[in-house]
Amino acid sequence: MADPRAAVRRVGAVLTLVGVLLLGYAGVGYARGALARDRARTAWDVAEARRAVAAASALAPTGAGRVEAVGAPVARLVVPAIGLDEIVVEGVGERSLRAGPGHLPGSALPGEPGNAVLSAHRDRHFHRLDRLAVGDSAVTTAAGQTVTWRVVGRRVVGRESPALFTSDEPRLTLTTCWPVGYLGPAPDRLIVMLERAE
Amino acid sequence: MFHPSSSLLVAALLLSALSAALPESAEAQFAGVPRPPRRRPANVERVATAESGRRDTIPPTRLPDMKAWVDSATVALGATGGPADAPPPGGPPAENGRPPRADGAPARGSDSTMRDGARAPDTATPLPAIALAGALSLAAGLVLRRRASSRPRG
Repeated sequence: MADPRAAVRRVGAVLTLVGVLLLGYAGVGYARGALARDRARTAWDVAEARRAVAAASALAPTGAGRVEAVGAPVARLVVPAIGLDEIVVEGVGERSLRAGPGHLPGSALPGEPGNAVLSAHRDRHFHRLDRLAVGDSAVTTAAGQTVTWRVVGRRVVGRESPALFTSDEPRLTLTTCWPVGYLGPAPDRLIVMLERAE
Repeated sequence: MFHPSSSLLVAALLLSALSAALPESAEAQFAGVPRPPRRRPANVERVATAESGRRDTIPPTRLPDMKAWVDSATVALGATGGPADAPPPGGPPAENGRPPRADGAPARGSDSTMRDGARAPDTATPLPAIALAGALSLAAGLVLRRRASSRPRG
């Protein structure tokens, strides 16, 4: 007859191995995100330095009609109320969202006329976005201009619901998954709307 | 009684008769060099003749305005889209190439570019759940192993 203690030990060993593998997978995912974030910040610093040199030489680009490569840093987002200071990269694919909040291609850049949409994961860069309240401020820097925004509304929508709308005025929309503490792929989206502060 | 020379003669005669009666098997038995498959020139000639006949019966046709022809064919097939090279209405197409739905609702996977009424980008991630499952599995495994290796009390 088989030893029940040996069987329990084997089951324990299997569970330990599975746990180590799963934790390793998640850890590698987060570590790659941290590395990509550092790379984006470095690239942003380099781009800002070049922009400063170009501005000093009166060759500052206007930014109109520009199409950024996916993954390239396009803006900086600072939200003091939730301690957020991140470099925004182009694109909302998994690779872009690993590095930082992603700028939705086709939407305006923060400060330009139109709705600028920035999205990020709820377990990384936007993990405190739910604490943002109406009246809180945010600051963006993109294409050489710094803009201060004020939160004017927030809502939760289903993931299939229409959530983004074009605008003639400069607007900023931040999105992430909802509920923030949900286990697994979250079913809803948190939409935070901001308007340019006077 | 057979003389040795007469038996050799009989054997030679038998082999000759066999090779005459069964040429294929005899060839397989005695051929030392593989031969290429036999050609059938008659068939090739027939096909070539038919080809040349077909070529001669088709008059040369030119389509001077291919784009107009393609567009007319699209309309004839009942497609609702515009010309083949016209931009899609309502903004750029989705990254995955699928067009938006006709009823105006956002198509699945169309959240990677901005357009009016688009859904929010898919920021859902399974990493927190994976990390939690890993931690639980690791803890359970360690507890089981510790229990199994500890001595029973009493």
